Amino acid sequence: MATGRGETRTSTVENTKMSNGQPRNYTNGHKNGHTNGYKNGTNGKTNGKSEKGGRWQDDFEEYFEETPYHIAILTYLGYALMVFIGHVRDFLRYYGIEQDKSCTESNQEGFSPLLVSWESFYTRNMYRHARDCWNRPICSAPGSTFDVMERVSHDHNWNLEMTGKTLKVMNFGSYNYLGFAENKELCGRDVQRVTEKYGVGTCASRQELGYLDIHRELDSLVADFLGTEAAITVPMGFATNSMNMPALVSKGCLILSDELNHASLILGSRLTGALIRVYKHNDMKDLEHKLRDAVCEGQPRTHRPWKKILIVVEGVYSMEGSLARLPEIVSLKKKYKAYLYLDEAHSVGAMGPHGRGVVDHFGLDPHDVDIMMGTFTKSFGACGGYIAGSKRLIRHLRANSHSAIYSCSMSPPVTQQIISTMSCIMGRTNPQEGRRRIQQLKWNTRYFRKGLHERGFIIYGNKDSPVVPLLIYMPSKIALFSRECLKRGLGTVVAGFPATPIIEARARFCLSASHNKEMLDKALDIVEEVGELLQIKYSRQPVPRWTSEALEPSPE
Amino acid sequence: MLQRLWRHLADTLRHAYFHYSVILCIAILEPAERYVINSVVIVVVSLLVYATVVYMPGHVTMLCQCFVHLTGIRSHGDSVGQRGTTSATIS
Ligand SMILES: Cc1ncc(COP(=O)(O)O)c(C=O)c1O
Repeated sequence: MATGRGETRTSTVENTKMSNGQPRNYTNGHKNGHTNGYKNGTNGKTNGKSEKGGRWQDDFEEYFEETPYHIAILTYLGYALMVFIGHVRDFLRYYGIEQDKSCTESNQEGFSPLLVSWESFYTRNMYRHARDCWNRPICSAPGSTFDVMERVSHDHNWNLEMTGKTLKVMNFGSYNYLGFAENKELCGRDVQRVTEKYGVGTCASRQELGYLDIHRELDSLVADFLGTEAAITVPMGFATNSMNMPALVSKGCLILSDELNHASLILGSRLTGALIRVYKHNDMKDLEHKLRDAVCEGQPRTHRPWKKILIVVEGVYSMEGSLARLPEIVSLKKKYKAYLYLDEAHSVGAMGPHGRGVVDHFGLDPHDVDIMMGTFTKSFGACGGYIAGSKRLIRHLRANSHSAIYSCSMSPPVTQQIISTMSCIMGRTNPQEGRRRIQQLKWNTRYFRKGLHERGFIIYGNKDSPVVPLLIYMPSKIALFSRECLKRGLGTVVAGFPATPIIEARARFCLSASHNKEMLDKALDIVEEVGELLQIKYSRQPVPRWTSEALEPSPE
Repeated sequence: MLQRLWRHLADTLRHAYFHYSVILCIAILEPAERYVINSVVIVVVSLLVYATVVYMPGHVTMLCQCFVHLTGIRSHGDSVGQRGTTSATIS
């Protein structure tokens, strides 16, 4: 519908379409070696199907079921009604018939009002009704279960008050993919030791006196982990994108950005001053079209060639659960001599047989990606981000990036947490543990997705992505879904209009290696019950084929 | 027996109302807003029902007449039908 994504699409169909125009050559030795071993290990079904096309397509299945028409109409109707009521209430407030409790400034003669916009209307009249579903305070570590503080409102959600009680609920909302967010036994002691030795703050930027030996150790460990030449770490993931991109491209360059890129990438792109062209989400034809245009036509007006062309993509898209079609992007980038910036915030640790992200998942060579970015806030249960790539790139960033010059360097306990978890994933300390967690996450993902598919929910994304968006559509259903799930002991995240297109409001589950089968079953039961209550089992497509393949037993 | 039936009916009604309120988004609105919207819906629906009951039979008869006229089938029942229509419209 409005998304233009078409029918439930599996990648294989798309691919055959794509290959009509130009020959594909994803086959390089390195990649094949990797993929074969891995694929056979997973489900043993890649037996010489499309021999020449590269095998990754066989295991690449993504689902985006179209919004049913009647649901779309009812959703628009619901929003329209809420907007109408909002206008009526605003009218009453404007004439003082009703007390205005929102933050608006008093009428100042001659000044244009500061807070009159669609956003403030939306917050005041629509978001407020469901305000309790967001910004929920938590009072424990975000492990597999956590404590949510209970809130009540006595004035229709204008103000929320704490009751002082806490609810213990299952955590299906935090990005704790590998379950390292609570790991007293695994890294707690190291972190404690480092805190005692270095303290918590470094009180200086990296260029001055904030560069500790453990930062150095972390940089080289990250490079080792990802298989690149060098890496630099930054104390904040958002700043990694927004502060380092301006050091890489500038005016006269072109940025080709996926339409669903994260806010940090968008902000970073804007700060560069380069021209930004947006291509449709994961649409390789559109990307190629825009690349070809850029190469042929050059800059607008002058028609000089672009200084640089940078393709900016994410590994796993956090709202769609889809994977970047990296092999195709890499071949396009090589064909048109563009650079590739890959944000692996949600995929590093969570994807691939070794936890090295989507590059590992597709079995590509890390050197094919020019700039690898990722964060430690998700799988590593810490804080901060990294950029990895060639030595020259990292040297350039050390000298030029705002985040290295102007901001304080990473806190030592955080640094140690990342070192410990990364060593664990790499199997340096505790050889079995990292592997077990990666396998557990993969199993959990498949199991949970399969369960939701079989129960008739519309869910989006790649079958291996640990981010599972469940489409709910209607604004009242999002609020009720969140409340009802919390009441039954399941904490999850819901997202509505400004974060998603207006008719694609959704709940999002993030799976974790710290969930076990029992918890997944319980969560599925709760979702089933709430889904029954709210009637959100919209799916009319057949259950995807992969769900009928037997899942090997849980690796617990 | 009657009690069971009654409970069943009440359940069904509650269920239906819940769905109606979820779909129109009034489930998450303030009670006053809910009250106003429900009143509006009730007024509109009752007007529609009233109109249907009062004007529909006449209209249908008239349409039938028209159809009969167009297809050229004549019978002496025509005039009787006409009178029937008029009376239905007036009442
Ligand atoms: C793709 C992407 N990049 C960057 C970030 C920012 O990372 P951080 O939360 O570590 O600041 C996020 C966070 O959600 C993200 O999803």
